[in-house]
Amino acid sequence: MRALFWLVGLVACVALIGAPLPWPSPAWADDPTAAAAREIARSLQCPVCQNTSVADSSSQLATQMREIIAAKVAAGETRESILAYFVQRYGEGVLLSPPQEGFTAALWWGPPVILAAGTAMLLLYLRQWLPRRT
Amino acid sequence: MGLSEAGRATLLMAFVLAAYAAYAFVVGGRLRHKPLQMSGRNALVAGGGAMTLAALLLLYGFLSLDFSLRFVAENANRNAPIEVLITGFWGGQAGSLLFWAWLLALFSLVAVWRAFSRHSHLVAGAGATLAAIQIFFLVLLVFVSSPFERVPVPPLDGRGLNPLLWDDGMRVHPPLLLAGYMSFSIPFAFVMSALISGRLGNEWLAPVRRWMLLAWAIQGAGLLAGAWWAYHVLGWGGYWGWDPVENAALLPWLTATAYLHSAMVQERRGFLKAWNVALVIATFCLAIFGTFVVRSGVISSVHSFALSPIGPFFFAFVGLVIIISLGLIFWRLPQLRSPGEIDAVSSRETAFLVNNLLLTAITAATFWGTMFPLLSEVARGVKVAVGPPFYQQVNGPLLLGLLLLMAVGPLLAWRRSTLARLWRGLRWPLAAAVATSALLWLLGMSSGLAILAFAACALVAGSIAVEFARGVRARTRSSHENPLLALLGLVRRNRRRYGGYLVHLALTLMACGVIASQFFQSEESVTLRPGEAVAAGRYRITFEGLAARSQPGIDTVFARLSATAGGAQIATLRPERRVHRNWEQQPITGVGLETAWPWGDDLYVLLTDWEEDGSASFRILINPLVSLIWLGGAVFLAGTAVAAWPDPGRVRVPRPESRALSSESSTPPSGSQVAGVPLALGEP
Repeated sequence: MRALFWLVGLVACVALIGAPLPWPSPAWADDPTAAAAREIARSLQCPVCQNTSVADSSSQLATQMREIIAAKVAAGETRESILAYFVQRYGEGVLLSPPQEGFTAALWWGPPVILAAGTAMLLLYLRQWLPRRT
Repeated sequence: MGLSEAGRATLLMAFVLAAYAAYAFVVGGRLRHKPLQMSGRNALVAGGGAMTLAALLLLYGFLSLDFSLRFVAENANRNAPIEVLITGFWGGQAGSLLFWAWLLALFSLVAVWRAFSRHSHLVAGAGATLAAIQIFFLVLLVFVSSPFERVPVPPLDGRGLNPLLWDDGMRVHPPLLLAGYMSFSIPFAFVMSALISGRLGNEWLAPVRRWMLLAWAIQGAGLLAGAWWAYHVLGWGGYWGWDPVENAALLPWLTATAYLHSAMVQERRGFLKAWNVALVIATFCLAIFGTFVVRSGVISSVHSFALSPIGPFFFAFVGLVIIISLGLIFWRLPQLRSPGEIDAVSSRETAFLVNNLLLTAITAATFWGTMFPLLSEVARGVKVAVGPPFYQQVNGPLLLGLLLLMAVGPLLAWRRSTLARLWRGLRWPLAAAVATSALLWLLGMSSGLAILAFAACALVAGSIAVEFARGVRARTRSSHENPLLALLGLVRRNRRRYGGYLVHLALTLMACGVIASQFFQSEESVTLRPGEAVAAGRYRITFEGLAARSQPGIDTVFARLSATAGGAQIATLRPERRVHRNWEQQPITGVGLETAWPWGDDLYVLLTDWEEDGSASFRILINPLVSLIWLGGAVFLAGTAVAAWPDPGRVRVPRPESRALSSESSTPPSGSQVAGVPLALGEP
């Protein structure tokens, strides 16, 4: 209980002292539109580079693609429709995270299945190792 | 005799010596014939000498620009300065293999020599295993991919090293990674030896831990150097791209991390033997896999795999290793079974088990993602890309889980820990986490996920602080030392434990850097005329002008920019583009990079294009807190050194398991002696 008191007190202090200070705007006071455009650019492979996303590449094509994305985001298009636009132009390989359906669903199912199998094994062993309670 | 013949003869000699060493260790081990084993050891020493000579010969080939060697002609040219010539050694496949095998020869002779005086029953098996690995690499070097191959007509000048590899980072990063991959062979050899000899008590833990820790540290340093190089040289604004070569280097490091944790369970409680053995073997297999991937780029396409002449050999070797090790494990299964019993779910043991589950899951997921494009191409002929979004989505939650576990695990006692105890340890860290979240929220951070991740970092940092504080308090209470001395004494007496905490702290620092730069990187692409300025976040960047510079074989254009924040000049930046002769199609980006304090933002400027009228195009990235990753790297190395530093003259006494069980009670983890028990027993 005492610890909880301290905890609430500490948070309150931080809030009281911190709020009125003239904080300089930190880099991470992010602009949501730019962040959305960046996220989309990060999920597209730069078609003329090796293992580089559109967000990271300095190539001309990637720069143009970033401009297209920014324009489409500003025009209110959804993430899905923007991605579909690029898939239609450059093929499935342009996606850095393959679709979660069809053949590539296996990619996405792999890790959860592994984790579930591992957890199940761990639980089985734990049950075997824990002393029996009657 | 030319350099080529001398080199081939030396490698052939090393091959014969390794084959003899293998024979001597196998027969000497079977007959328990000590002199024959010593003869095998001497063969390893002579082999080490031969490999050193071979490495020196290739180095001489580079320094004397002997273009009659194909490998030198491909990786050196006359304009290259001496340090670039040396880098050429590991600039290609054959030289990398030679470097690997040379270091293995040196490491194995040290390992076997030390084992003679400390773990003599492990000598024969370990020596035979190491000699067998050497034989494999020497077969490749002598018959398949020789660095001493001749060109029929020597060219006047070599093609030269890829200019991307001219950077200082290339002097550090590839040798470290190759050394890291190689050094996982030593713990593997000791484990194989324990399996072969059937002495599967806890005796093998000490040498395996020592060498595993060394290999883990080298590989970790190699990964960090790689991240540093990518960030400073490749010019895409990031440090880790989840590309196949990076993933391959990460995999053995992950399994080694899992082993370093689960070995403690065996050391303390005597169970998980089979699992630990399997982890060491898996680490070695992944290291061989990584060595192969790093030099051949096979993962990018099935076709490059088919074309690679060394591919089938590596495949066969890994297959053989897996079959033999599995066979040995099944054969020894009766001795590997341990009558383990866990007393309670809330215990350190369980924390280690969950740690292993998470690390194995990350390893498996990363391996799966790395291999999937290959699988897709084979199965349906369609190339897919598996990139950072996949790994972030899949590994992100697992890594967050590891962070949380790092906060909770060390506070749990062995055997049984009550929730009240856990709460007593966790309340301050929890307060720190809540305070951090509140502060970040007040500062205007909008992403809940980022706030959660930073809060998890605060939780870990708080939990480490609590552990240090408890230890110091226990010492000051009992000996009335001043706290600083107590802290030093505490670390000195329990180096493994507190070195481990330093490594945890390092990972937390890196996590902060990664989270900040992942969530809050921002970017502008601009074209500026000289004198024009652009606002990037809270910084104002002014383009001052372009200039050019010429060196033999390299033409450089660079831009000068200055950055101000709130009117004050904080940095000058000089991004550049270099064009190397013979590599005109691949201009090299030089990043203009300065860290702006106090916020720790990296101003990262790339020169992408320029016009006749002197205007230039830039990409300007603001990467917050990336410096924390490098700081974390330094702490990582320091922590590992603390945990691994050898004590001169101390021989660790292997603890019989019965004592291991009886000496544990539900002692609190705060007492400075608890984790030190295995150490204290060994101290004179």
